[in-house]
Amino acid sequence: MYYIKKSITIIILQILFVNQSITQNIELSLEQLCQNSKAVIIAETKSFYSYQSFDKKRVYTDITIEVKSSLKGDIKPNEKIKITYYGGTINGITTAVIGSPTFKKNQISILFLTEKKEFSPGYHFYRIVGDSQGKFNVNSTIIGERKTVKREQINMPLKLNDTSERVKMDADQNIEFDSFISLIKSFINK
Amino acid sequence: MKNQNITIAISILIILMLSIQRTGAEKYMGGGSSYINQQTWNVVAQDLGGPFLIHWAVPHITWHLNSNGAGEVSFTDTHNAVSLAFSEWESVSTSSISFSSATEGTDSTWANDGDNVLFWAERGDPAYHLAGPLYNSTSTLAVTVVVYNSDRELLDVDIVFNGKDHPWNLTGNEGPDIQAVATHEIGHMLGLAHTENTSYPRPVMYFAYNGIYDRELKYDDEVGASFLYGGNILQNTNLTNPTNFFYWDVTVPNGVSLTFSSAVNTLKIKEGKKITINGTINASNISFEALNSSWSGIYVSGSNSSATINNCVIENAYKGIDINQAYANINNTDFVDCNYGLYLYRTNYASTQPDITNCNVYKSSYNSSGVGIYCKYSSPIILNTEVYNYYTGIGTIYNSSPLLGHYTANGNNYLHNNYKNLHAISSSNPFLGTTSFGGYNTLQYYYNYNIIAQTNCNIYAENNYWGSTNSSTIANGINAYSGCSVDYEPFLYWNPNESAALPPVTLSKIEKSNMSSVAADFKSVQELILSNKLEEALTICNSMIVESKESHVILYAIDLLWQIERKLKQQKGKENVDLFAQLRNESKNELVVGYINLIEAVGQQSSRITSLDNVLSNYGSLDIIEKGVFYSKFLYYINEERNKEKAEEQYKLLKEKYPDDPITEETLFVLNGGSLLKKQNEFNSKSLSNSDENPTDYALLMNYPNPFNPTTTISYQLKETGFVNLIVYNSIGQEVAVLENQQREKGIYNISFNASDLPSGIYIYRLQAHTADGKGDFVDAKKMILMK
Repeated sequence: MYYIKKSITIIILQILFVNQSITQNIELSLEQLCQNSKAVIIAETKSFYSYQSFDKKRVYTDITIEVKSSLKGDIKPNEKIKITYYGGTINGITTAVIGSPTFKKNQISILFLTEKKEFSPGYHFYRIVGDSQGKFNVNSTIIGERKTVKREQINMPLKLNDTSERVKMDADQNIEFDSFISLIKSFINK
Repeated sequence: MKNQNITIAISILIILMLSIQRTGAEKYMGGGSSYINQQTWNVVAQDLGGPFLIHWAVPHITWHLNSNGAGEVSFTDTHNAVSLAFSEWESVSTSSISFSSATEGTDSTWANDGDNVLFWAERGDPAYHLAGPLYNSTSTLAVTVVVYNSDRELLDVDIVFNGKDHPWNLTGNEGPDIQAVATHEIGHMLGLAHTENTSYPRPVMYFAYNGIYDRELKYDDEVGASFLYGGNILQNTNLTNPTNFFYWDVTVPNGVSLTFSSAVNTLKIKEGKKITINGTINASNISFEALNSSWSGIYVSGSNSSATINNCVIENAYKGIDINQAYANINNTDFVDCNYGLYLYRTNYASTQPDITNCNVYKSSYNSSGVGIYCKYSSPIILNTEVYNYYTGIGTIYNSSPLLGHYTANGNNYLHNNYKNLHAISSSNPFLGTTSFGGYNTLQYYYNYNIIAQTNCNIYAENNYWGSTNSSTIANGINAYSGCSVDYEPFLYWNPNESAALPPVTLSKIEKSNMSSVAADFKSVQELILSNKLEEALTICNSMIVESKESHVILYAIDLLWQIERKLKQQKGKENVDLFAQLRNESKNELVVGYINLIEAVGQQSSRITSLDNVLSNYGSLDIIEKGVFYSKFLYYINEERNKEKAEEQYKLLKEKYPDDPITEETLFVLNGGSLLKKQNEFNSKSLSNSDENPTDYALLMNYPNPFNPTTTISYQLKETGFVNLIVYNSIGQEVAVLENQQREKGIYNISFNASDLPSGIYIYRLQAHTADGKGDFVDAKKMILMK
């Protein structure tokens, strides 16, 4: 048993770290985001609600979003769903996990979601695939008559698939909305 | 065997899961940025309106490591590796943060308990539960959970290493390196976010794991730590976040600049903290606000330092901006509720005096404290600036002689509702105007005095408005101590700095006449305007324009009409009133129409010269219009286009057609203030006489340069041989220098005057030439400004 564990560990290490040493800057590609998601939606952030654990040492926040349109999965337009993350502000004290995706009221985003989880009986929530990687914010201002989106917190070009190809971005790393949606649909329907 | 199969199956499943993750996912270390520009993360679910900084308010942090260590690595080895990571951050010489390790403990909670714990979460740990910080994050190496208060002061930070999914070690060869990842996460513990700097060698705070290379801080990391725990901005920095927070004293060193991109609109500074600029600050459209109560202010210090502040608001600082022998250009900026709006020290010794234009310096309510603009050994140029609700509006001490208006610009400053609107002490000579230049300031509504001149202070303050048209009332507001003087007459009869401003060109500017002689005729109209009886004022003005036969009266009435129109436009339903258009349509007087067109042409920003040329071609036969066009074009070329040759052409036209007109003299005076010394000297010589050998008249010219420091040249010519006195007086008539006191032959003379031993201020030089025929002496006097 010990040797089996050890050999497995070595295999894991090789996969992990040989791969890591050469793929250090690779992130989830758009194709992987599409494949790993149970749902892909365009949604508007409507409200937040932060609450404490029973021992009052932990804080969680529910983000309510309203679905504008659905690109994948069975979530319907106009449906309101919840995304829950660790952290939030209670009585002026804020808890945060650095690097978690951010949400702003009335912000429109393209979200790549995990499957629905049951947090407690009858209470369901979603998470975003790859945390910040699975969130793209639709820019509120039209740039040069183009509707655009921008990656959440990541200022690197988005990998398209397993090749070295990248999703086209302008100098400010804005992605054209329409072509981005087309790409997402093409990967979903693949 | 069955168990072994299950184990193998599970392991293969794990391998498959991980291999999927690794082919597409990179190792994530939880995150923020190491550089102040890149604070791009927000607290989850917080609609804070922008990025922010967090930091420890205390200089020393205690941490402890969970006794389990890192997986199969012993506690001692893990502790050593983590200690090295902390030491790396402590080694930043420009940062003051330090750490110590508490005793080993069993705490493994990432909750807010005041205990800064580092621990390796293993399978089953609540961190992996639904909505836990490591939930669904197999590719994450570690996360940092921070807790902070509303002042962005960190209270508790826990680092949770993903022990379930990764084989941690001390070499980085077969799994994540403990020391390297700890170094990155401790950066987050300090309040740093992920850097956007992607250059090699990668900063530790780059978002992806970089092996053992992350054990060693890079310059970018040090920049972040220095800013957070030393207040030092080590390199040229362009802030880009809409809202920025300075929770500590911040210093911009010599040679480094702090600028703000157009996206930035707010900088909030914590109570008592200050921004010290030993390098450069460039700020436009920024609101500098106190985070809670009053902050200290912006301190720009040293001859290599500079501050360019445009369209900003600086509020609730002890000193809005403190300029110490540094360059400062401050425009369109409001200083609100600062004890000192602007505090200027020793700018007399800077290469250039501060330029303060279009600013508002005020307290929200009067509380008899503070100074709006304080000048100590400083003589800034202050234009179009309003100062109110202070104990002292403008205070000057020790050879401080600010220019509230000068030879190419009216002052148009408005000092009001201060206990003392202007207080000059100890050889300070603020300049507020003469009938020739400057002036048009308003000083009114004071609690003590409008002006106080105390201890060897002499103030020229002609052509200003004092809140009254009664000479004795004005005099009551002026307190000149023994040995001091305030020259406040002639004064204006209306407030040039109310909403009804002066037209862009006025009769007084063109004619250089004594304003009060004309204005006295219209005193009643001005009072009507002041008291908002606009219809009555309009009726009188119109009748003057129609009925008067004196061009001065007509044109001055048109000037007042401009003011009436500006005030009328503020009234509901009269926004579109156009008195000039109405008058132009109805009047058959060429002078009236020409003058209106002249005023409107000068008001054109984009096509001023073309418009002026049109006025000249249509109404140039009228002297006043022609002079006005030449003069207006001259001012445009010299002030806005900065084309001296074209300006000189206009001067020549004036010289040719109106050689004895005061406006020609002033134009030359302005021209002499330029830098074309040689040209001007030649020019001066020519203007002295048609023939250098044979002067045909007596003349005393304006000195050059003027203002000057400390030498200037005074030129005069004698048409006959005679005894000459050329004496310089200070503004209260005391003789300070005798430059000529001897027999001189007929001819032209250029006399150098060195005022290095004299304080800044206005001086008068007087030439007296005794004529040979005994029919009378030639006497003339002119003013000059010594500005040190």
